[in-house]
Amino acid sequence: MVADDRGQVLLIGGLAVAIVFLTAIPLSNSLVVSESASTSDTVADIDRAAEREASVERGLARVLASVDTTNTTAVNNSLQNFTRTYANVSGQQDGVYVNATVNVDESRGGVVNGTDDFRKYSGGGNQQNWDLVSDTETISEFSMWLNQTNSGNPTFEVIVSGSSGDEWRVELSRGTGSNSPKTVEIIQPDGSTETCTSTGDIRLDLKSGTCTMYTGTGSPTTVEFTSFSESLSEPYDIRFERSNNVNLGRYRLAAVGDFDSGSLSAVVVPAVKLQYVGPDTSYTRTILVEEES
Amino acid sequence: MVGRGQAYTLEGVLAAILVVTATVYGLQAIDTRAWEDETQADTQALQSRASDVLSLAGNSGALRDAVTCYQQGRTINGDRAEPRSTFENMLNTSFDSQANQYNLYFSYYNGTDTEERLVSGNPEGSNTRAPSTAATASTTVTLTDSTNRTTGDRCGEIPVTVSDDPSFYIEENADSSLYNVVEVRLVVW
Repeated sequence: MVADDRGQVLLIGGLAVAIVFLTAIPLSNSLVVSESASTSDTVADIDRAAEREASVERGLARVLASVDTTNTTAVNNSLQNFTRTYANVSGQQDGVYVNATVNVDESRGGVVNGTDDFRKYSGGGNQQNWDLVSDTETISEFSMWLNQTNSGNPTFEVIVSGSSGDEWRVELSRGTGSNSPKTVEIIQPDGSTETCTSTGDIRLDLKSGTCTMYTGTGSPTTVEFTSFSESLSEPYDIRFERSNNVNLGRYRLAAVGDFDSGSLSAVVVPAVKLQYVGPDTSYTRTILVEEES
Repeated sequence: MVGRGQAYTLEGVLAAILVVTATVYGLQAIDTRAWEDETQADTQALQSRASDVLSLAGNSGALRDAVTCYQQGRTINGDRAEPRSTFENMLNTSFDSQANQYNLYFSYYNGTDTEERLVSGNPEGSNTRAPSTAATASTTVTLTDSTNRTTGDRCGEIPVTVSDDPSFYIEENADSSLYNVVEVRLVVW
């Protein structure tokens, strides 16, 4: 009697175990459903936020390309305008708000500039042959005015060397007479030369490659030359030689690189503190915005 | 009696092995992915295609050229006869040639409120209204005072900046070098 009962119990027990396992299959299925549904939503949110952020960064780079980045006030004004306009167009439709300000401490860059003669006065003596900057990849401005120079051939040189050691040179020469013209000769790494000559002042924009000649009261003429950025590869080292021979002039170099002591810090590549507030995510982080060329 | 006890134990173990094997086998035979119908999958695929097109065009500058190119009578549409601008070529390859319809909107703040323009023209054919399964993607384009206008079939750059062109449809909305920010919205179905 007892044995017969046990057979029934075993049968029912077996069935129960089978039912447990059979329900486990659809149950595990529904677990996967809820998990994957929530994952795909999150991924889509992150995608949207990332795309928004990319468009904000593009916009910032675009805005900063048209501002003198070494002027922090101007940069902050432009950023304020950008965030206000961005909030107007984006906030009303998608609920995305951004706020951007320049973080000067985190920004990169430096400026060396000088007036009258081009010697290095800071950081130990008045050297006539000296390095303005080395290992620079980003140059936002490199220009100079040459007003009065000593005679000589060459009397003053700017030497830019690229990563391969090739040199791009600017040689300034002038004859001995008091009215003899100044000649600027651009020497490319392959030896080819371009020149501009003036009895008056000369303004060189070494970054974009223009030489503007001023003669008397006539309107200035501008000629173009091949800039070092087209004939050399980054990073560059920039050096002045015989800089004491420039008696009157001024120069300014704003770049990111290794400066000697005596350079001023300046915002060449601004670090922008970006606050992003969207419907799904919000965060604050600092990004370095390179100018869009 | 003892022998029978052992037999029961063995039988139980065997039955358990059988059921576990059946479970494993059964789990392999069925698809445990999230259930979704075809429309949902289509919408998701469209969504990523639309946002990819906008990202690519935004990064390459093609989208900015399209924004500065649009004017009355010059719609931005991949369905145009060649030659087309780069962005229109992207639209054509991604949507027109795949029999997808889309609406392209540019919206910008004009000083008092946000103005939205349908710049792609009305889609042709019977299926002209965006259904509820349509996918939407959007991005922004920043215009500065020095941004040049583009014109023509290819949206080529001309030496006139947006701030110098009085016929440009977007007004300046900032005092600084920033001109305006345009939101580009693409609705595809």
